[in-house]
Amino acid sequence: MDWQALTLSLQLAFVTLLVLLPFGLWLGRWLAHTQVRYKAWIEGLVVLPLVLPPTVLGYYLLVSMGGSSPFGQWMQNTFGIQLTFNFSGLVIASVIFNIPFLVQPIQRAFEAIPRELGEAAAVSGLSKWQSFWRIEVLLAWPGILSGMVLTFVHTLGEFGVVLMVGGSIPGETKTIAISIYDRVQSFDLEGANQMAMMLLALSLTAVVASFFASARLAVRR
Amino acid sequence: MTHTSPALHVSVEQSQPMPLKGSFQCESGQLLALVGPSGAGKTSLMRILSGLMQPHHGKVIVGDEIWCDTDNHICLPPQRRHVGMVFQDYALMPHFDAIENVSLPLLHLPRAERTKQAKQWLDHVGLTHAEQHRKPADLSGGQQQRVAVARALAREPKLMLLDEPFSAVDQMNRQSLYRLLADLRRELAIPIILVTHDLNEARMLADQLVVIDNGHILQQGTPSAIYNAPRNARVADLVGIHNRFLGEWIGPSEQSGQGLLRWKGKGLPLNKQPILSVRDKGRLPEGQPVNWVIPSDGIALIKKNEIARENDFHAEVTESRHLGEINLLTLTIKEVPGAEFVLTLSGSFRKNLAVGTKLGIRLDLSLVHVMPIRADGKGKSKHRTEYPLKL
Amino acid sequence: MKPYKLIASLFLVLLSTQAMAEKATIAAASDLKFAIEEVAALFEQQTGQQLRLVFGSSGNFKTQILQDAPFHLFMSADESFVFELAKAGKTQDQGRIYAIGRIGIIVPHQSPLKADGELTDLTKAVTDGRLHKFAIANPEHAPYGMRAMEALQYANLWQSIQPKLVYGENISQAAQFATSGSTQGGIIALSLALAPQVGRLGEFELIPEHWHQPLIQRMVVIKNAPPSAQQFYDFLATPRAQKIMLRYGFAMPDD
Repeated sequence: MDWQALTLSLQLAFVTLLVLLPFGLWLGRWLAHTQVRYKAWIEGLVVLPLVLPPTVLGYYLLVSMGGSSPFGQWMQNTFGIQLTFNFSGLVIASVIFNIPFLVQPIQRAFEAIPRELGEAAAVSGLSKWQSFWRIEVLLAWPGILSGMVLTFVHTLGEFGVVLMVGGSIPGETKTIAISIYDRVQSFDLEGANQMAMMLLALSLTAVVASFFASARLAVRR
Repeated sequence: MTHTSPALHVSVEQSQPMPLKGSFQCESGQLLALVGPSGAGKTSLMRILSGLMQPHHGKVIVGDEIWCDTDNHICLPPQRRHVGMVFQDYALMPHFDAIENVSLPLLHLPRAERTKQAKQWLDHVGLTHAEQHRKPADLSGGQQQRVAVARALAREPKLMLLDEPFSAVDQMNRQSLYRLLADLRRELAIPIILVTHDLNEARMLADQLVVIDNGHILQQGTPSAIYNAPRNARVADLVGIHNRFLGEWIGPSEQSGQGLLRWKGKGLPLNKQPILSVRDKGRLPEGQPVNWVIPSDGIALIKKNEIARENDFHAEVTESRHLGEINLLTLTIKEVPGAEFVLTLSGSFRKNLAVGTKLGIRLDLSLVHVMPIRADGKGKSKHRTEYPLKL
Repeated sequence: MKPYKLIASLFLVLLSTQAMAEKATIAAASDLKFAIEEVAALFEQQTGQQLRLVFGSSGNFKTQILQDAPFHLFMSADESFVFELAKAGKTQDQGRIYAIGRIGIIVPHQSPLKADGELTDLTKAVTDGRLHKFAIANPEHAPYGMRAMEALQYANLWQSIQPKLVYGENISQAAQFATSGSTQGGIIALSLALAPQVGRLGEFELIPEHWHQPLIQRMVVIKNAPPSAQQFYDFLATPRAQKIMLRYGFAMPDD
């Protein structure tokens, strides 16, 4: 059992959620309400990581974050952080490939809130911010939760992109999914099996728990 | 109440996103009903009043506060307007119980005070203590509406808006809600605007009617003024005046204040067309084609052998629809082919009126209202078979 | 948790992984998997220095190092990759040859194939239908794959066997494919076959050395490496390290 890889994967999943959640809430809510003409393009971009091969995403991330790219150089010079082949880079990659997993359920949840509720809140004198926290978030909560769980579980399981930008360095970029792959290659089928079971149990538990929670949280109308 | 200016003054003009044009006003303590077919712009007007929508061009003045004045780039958001609004489907927060819903406009108060006031408002609209702790899904339609009213009241409104508040409530609850509304009117010294497509309701509850169609505010007045003197054929149609006929204005008669109206029938030779002596306001040129209407108060059924005067006509029952307590009767007039009267009748008399019954009809010509048909077609009926009257 | 605490812990996580980068990371060709793990364990035991080992195909490592992957010692299965990196200015010097590798054919138990170094039974099996799948490492970026290809070409098998080939990402994966039972065999590194984990899975026989270019394995220290990378580089020349390498079938350069 590669505890280091498991810890790293959990860390990555938490940090990804932490970084992505505010953005996901904002974007999901905006997409639910906006009527701009280019909405379909934005939605398309959001879904893109879902349909694109991880290697394509990984390739572009590698090229755009690498030491020879302007962004990579800027990060290196300004913050002294190298993005490829280390944890920070993994977080960036993970945030990007999880956008659809978080944003889509959140968007659907906000779309399901009748418009009149927001209007009733405004007429009752609630500011946009009060309306967001007291009404919208509470009503959208099942969707937000399932988006969070999907993101978390998907981060634990992501392989292709991590392999491309990570370089499988123990304790740095060797996540549990990569570790399983390595174990199989090093003829440690028992180790691979243990970790695969662990990942399977973890993912299944999280998803099922979120379904139960969503059913409990869902407000009857 | 003697106000120098009306408590609510609204004027609006825009072509996008939906056309709206016109103005109306409402005094404090008055109930004004906005009536018109669906899609006429009633809800848009409500949204402009509440601040949920900004008119392209318009003014909303409540008391001495200017809520919206596009000429001076003023348009307050709903949060700064103190509007009590009861939404069509109540728009109660499904995750809050009744008390929490009514607490929403009271967020500026400390929690204990908030709850105390919310309970008082719910007591006021007659919700029991057990019901006050229920979520909307566990309350009946009528109870939900009371919560919505309580929430609107808790806002300490300067203007009350009720958007089709009775549409989702059954008849029994409706009666008690009418009483609630009547109580509110007595207590609240603010303008109350009611959107409805139920004309009976509008007539029964409102001091003032505003008729709106296709974004245009067509007429404002007391219910009786509008029923007796609709501004044009469209208003007559919209307020459910079925007895509307074509005619031609002949000119003043020898009697002062009276004029002569030719009742035009289909294919009727000129000399057979009845001439009616009606009130003359001196506004119409001779030969002006007109629509004329007569309210049901001005129509009396008489026996065949009673037909004697020039305002009596031979009639035949061509349709009799039985609608519970009332009968909807269609009559054709022998003297004027194509002319049809529609009457609602109640009482024992109606039982004798089967299809084919011949009888007489007596018109009170002093109640006839004449409307010119404009050349641009605006006053013309669109010949829609539409009964806005709820049956 | 208060928001500021959450943010603080986020930074801690990021910082801690930055700090961890100071441990020397060894990028080693997959044929070294078992041998270098043993050498590294000995090194850590003797010096108390911790190492991080990453195994993969030499070609992929070369690409990643060109993209500034944080590797400190590159143990390639092929010289040319090291020279390329040296030319690109990524390395301290030209490095040093640390071993010469060998390839052979491995045939899992219950396979209809015979483990035959001259590949005569393999040649027959291609035509008589006994062979369905045969594993080698990807010749595009794995040196052991290139040498396997050369050997198959030498035996005049390359054209006919190509439709049956499955390619491992690196020689370690090729060995896994070759012994999994899903293939009838494969060409793998001697160093892997000598590891009990692999050796017990099948029969192995060496392919004659002159059938392919020699597997001259060169290593090099990358610029700005921590001192322990250089220490491990030096440690590999010690007799105790060499003894382990020999046990895994590596020949030592004659210098």
